[in-house]
Amino acid sequence: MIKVGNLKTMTNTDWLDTLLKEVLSKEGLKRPKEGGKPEGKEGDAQWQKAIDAGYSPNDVYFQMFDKNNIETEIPEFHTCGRSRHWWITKMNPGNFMPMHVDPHTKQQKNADRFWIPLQDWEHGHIFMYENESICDYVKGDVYQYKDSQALHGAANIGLTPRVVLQITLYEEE
Amino acid sequence: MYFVENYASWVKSNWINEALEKTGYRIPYDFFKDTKVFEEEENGIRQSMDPSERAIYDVYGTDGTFFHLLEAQLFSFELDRPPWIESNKKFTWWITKMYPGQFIPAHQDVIKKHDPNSKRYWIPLFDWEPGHIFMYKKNAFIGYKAGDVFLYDDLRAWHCGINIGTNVRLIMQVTSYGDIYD
Repeated sequence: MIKVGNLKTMTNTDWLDTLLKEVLSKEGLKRPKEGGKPEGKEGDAQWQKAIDAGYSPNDVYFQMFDKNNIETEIPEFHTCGRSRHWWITKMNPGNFMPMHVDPHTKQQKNADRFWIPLQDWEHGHIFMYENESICDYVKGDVYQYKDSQALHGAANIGLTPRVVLQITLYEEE
Repeated sequence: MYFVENYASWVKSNWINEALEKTGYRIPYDFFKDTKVFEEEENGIRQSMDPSERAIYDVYGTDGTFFHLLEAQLFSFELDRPPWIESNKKFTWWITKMYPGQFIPAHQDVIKKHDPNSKRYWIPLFDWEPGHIFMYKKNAFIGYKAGDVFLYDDLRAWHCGINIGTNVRLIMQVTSYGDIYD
């Protein structure tokens, strides 16, 4: 992961607090229970591998938010003409996301993945990117995946919810 | 954490096989089901847990299974004396087993009243694999080998573990304390 900056350099970052408050105040889409299988052959294979390992598709491992269930307006960033796809993950204590590779970054052309925590780091808030753990970050830090197809996973075994904004930039076909 | 040395040849395959077979205590469920833990603490029968551990039960409750605790008395074998422990020290040991999705929330250990100079060792019984996470202070332990012995350099350090991989995770913990001549 490469730390590329912090959103506080933007003129107005009030939306970050508003967004965090909104996410903390409501329930998102419960995954995987309400999410369905990831798309594509790659997604299928990972889904089956997780089930074989004992993960249940009917459990709730985290919650997801996107433009369909978030009212806070997320400002348009400079995207160099590329399309933007964003979502937010909320993990309550005990939630996690098993190690995986994002299927969508394979389907999207020249996808770049960004990871933006909406809170300062706390003990028990875990993000693993290949062999690296991301700790000690502060709210609004922007990390870019060195490789959008890298293996990664996350967990919250702390005492407070963990909220992260995720953005992918990609080229339209 | 300090790396002590690799003691893979000391680890016996039957220890691992038994650990894989046995259920052990489902923590915290089995710990709380027959014992009034908080009451015993209040009455001074039990040493108080660290506030960080108490906070875990407040947030997560006490009726789930975070992980499986396999204590020494559960096994059919006697552990060979760990060769890295000073010859005058007593020792105690246990194994934690985490299936995919299981964890130990972030906490600080309590230093046992009877020996503030005890030493705690962390020994993975399988090679590291992605998703087998042990966080100690602000570092994740990765790339270790089965039988590696690590010494906690700070008994009060924040630490936690989770298995978000696809295979079971087994960790042996050894604590040395006291003096065998006491």
